[in-house]
Amino acid sequence: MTETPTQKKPNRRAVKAAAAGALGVALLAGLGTTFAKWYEEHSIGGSSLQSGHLNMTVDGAKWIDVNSGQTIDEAQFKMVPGDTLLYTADVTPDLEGDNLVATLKVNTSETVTGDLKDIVKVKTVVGDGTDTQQTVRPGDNTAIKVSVELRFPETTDDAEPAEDKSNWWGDRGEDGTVNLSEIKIELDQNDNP
Amino acid sequence: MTVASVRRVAAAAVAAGLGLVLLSSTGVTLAKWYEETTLPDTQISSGSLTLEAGSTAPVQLHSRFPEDQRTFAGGTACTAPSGFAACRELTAAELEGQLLLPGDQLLIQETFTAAANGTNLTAHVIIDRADVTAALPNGTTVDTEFTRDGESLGDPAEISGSDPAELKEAEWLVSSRITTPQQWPVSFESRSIDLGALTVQVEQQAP
Repeated sequence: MTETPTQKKPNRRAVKAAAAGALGVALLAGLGTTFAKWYEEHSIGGSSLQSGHLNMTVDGAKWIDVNSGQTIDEAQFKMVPGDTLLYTADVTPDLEGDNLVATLKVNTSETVTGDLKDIVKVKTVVGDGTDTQQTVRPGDNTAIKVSVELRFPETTDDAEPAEDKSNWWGDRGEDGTVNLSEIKIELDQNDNP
Repeated sequence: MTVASVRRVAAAAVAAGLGLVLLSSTGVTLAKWYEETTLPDTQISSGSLTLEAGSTAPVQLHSRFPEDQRTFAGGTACTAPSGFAACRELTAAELEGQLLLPGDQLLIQETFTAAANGTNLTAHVIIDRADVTAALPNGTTVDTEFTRDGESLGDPAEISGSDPAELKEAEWLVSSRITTPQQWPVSFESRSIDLGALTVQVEQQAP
């Protein structure tokens, strides 16, 4: 007669406890909850940080006929060789920012159009001297004069008119136009040091 | 670090690099403030000097010899001025076939328009018929007068961009009196004479 080996039955209580523990871990992990670790925290006391600003206002814009010294309506003016017109305006910068520095300039690059663009000469000045740009900082709130000079040279080589008229314009540049509407007064933030 | 995570880091680095290249290549500076304003609608025009030829009236030939002492080729009779015995009005074609005699005077009248357009523009109108004296015997004189809208002007005459519109459109009349001497050298017998042309120049003076 053969003897059948006795089969051990698993302890049902132990299995249930293990399953409940595993389910609890899974639930905690699934919720993204950290497991009981120590921590300590402090808030930064009532800090509200503000940004600054970079603005400017342009006032008193006008065109002057340099030959007569008179203010003109540029739309009615008829320019001829030897004429110089001057656009002037007062620019007041308004900068706020601890490290903010900016440059005020007049951008004429590729902005002068029309069939006189290769004939007339354009020059810009920022400030009272001859500089073409000026650095401004917070607190620089006084108006800065900005000017654009438009000059129709007397001769083709910008020299004195030759006796033989070799450098005279002839009829070049007659009944033409020059458009300056794209010229920009710019206030650009500088790179931080 | 696994192969997959190395790939992710590399992809992020490439993306960031591409962003920088794109920003740089468009000429845009990276995240800075700026403020700009354009000049108000500004178009400035240039002026001009204009000169247009008009017409030539029939030429008057003033003769010191009366009609019965010389022959005119065509033309119509006109009133002789003081100091002359006969007058003939001739077209350009009739003048070409005319025989000039010592002491003859030609009155040539031509018209044109000239104007200056420019706020500060002034110009001189200059008239020249001097070349005719080289073609005629020594002692030939040329007197030129010109008028604008009937008003006599000095030589050179000044025109300005500020002239009223009616003056800018007015007709100018140039009267040239070419008076030959009363004695001609033999070398001028039986030869053709080129009277040349009237030259009008408009020349800027200011600004």
